[in-house]
Amino acid sequence: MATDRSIRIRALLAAGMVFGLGAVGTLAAWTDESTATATFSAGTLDLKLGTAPEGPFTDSMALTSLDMASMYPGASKAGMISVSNSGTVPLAYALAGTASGDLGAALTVSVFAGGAATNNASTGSCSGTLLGTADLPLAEALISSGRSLPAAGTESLCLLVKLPATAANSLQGATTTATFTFTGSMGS
Amino acid sequence: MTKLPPLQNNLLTLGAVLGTLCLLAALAGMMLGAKPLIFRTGSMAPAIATGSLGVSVPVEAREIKTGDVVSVENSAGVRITHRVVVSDVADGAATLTLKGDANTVPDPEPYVLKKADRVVFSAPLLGYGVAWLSSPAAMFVGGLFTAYLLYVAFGPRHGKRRALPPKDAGSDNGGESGYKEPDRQQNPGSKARHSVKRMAATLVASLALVAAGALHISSPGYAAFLDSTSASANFTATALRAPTLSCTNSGLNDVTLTLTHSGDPATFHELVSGTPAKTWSSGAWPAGGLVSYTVDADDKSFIFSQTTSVTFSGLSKISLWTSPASTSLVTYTPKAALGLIPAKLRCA
Repeated sequence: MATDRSIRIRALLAAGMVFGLGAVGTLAAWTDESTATATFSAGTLDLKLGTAPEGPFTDSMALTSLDMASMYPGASKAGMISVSNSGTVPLAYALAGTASGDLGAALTVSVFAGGAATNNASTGSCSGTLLGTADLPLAEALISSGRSLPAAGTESLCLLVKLPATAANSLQGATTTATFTFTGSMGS
Repeated sequence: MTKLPPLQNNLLTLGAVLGTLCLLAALAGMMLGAKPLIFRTGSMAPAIATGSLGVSVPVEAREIKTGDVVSVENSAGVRITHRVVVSDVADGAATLTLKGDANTVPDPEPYVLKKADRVVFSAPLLGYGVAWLSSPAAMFVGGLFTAYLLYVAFGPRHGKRRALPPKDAGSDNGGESGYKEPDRQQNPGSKARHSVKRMAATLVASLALVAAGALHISSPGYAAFLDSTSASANFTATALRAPTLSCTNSGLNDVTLTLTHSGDPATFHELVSGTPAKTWSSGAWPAGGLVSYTVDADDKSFIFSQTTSVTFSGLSKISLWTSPASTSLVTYTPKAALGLIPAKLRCA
């Protein structure tokens, strides 16, 4: 039999649904307040590289235009690379270099956005806009603050690799392969 | 006594059961430290798809195993929920390398933590529902629902149920016998009691709305997508080559040493001798890459008292780099016969 008391208790318990469901969201909020709204992204993330702005784009490429066979202190080489967001969501990418050996540790890189690469005998130059600091050691983060690239967007970068004038005598004849790794992430 | 229509009565009972379950689940969740996670991206697909709802429970660092899915915050304060690929535990702190199942590369930064939230359960699509719970529309519905329930609990019913008369005010559950059928219009005490209850109901409903407003800051578990691609280039440093060093006799007593640039990038030259230690010529390579230097046998550096072989070396330089040396031997003969026969240098 439905008495006042029974109705009252059942109604208050039923209000527990609001509390319980609310708690699901609120509990998360108690531990993480970094993001205010929930948005879902069902898209795909796909970062690719190419030698020309028109492609073709691949996941792994040899940037032969940047190869340099006879570097000496003060020599430099510039090469263009195109970064393409082949996915369906905007992304932000970072660039880090690695290179083996003492020569790899000695090389420096400047990254320019846009422009063109010019090379004469053993000095290269880039005409674009310098990103960050010039002459960063190659084997470290070259673009650390994510550079945004819209979905289906492409951006050209000019890499200027230099062997500084202070290169040690022991580097004569050394060889290294430098790898430039672009990592795209979504949202952050 | 109050009678509710059968449908409403049954719905109320169902609501009470669900509400109790919700309360118990929320209580259990709070006691376990369980945390709901909304998966905003598909970086853990196919195991956990976009829009999934996960439940995580905090675990100590040493309990984290490779293969676990854990939820952590990165240095930017963004919550990342990925699978553990490498776990190093030392002094109760774990250094975790995480990777999303759908990502080609692990997360760039390792996470160092003493506790992590391990995902113990996930269900697809529910995340969308929970996200909706945080929407203004859901808040409004929740508030409205709460207000309605409070009305059912404390409000007047069917125009015939009335509150207790004033003299029974202290006994809210005095039983059916305690109730009368007073005319509301003529009972100021009952009226006053109603307004108090309504105020209370309004207050509670308002609080519920405020609480629902807190849902708005519900934040999603963020499983970041990553993709990596690379370009490689080869670099070879050149090696400086020794310049050519040639010796020709000059006149009767002297020698001329000629350095020829080897065609490497060197910009400086050096002509030295070992014993006596002396730099005879150094400086930029001239255009044409040819340096000739005539060594005078009367030079004061030659202090030998008998015939001696002197080694001359030619070097190329650029910055800190030095080429190998080319050498040329020159024979020195000191002056003789009290200076009547002069000192002499001859190419060996």
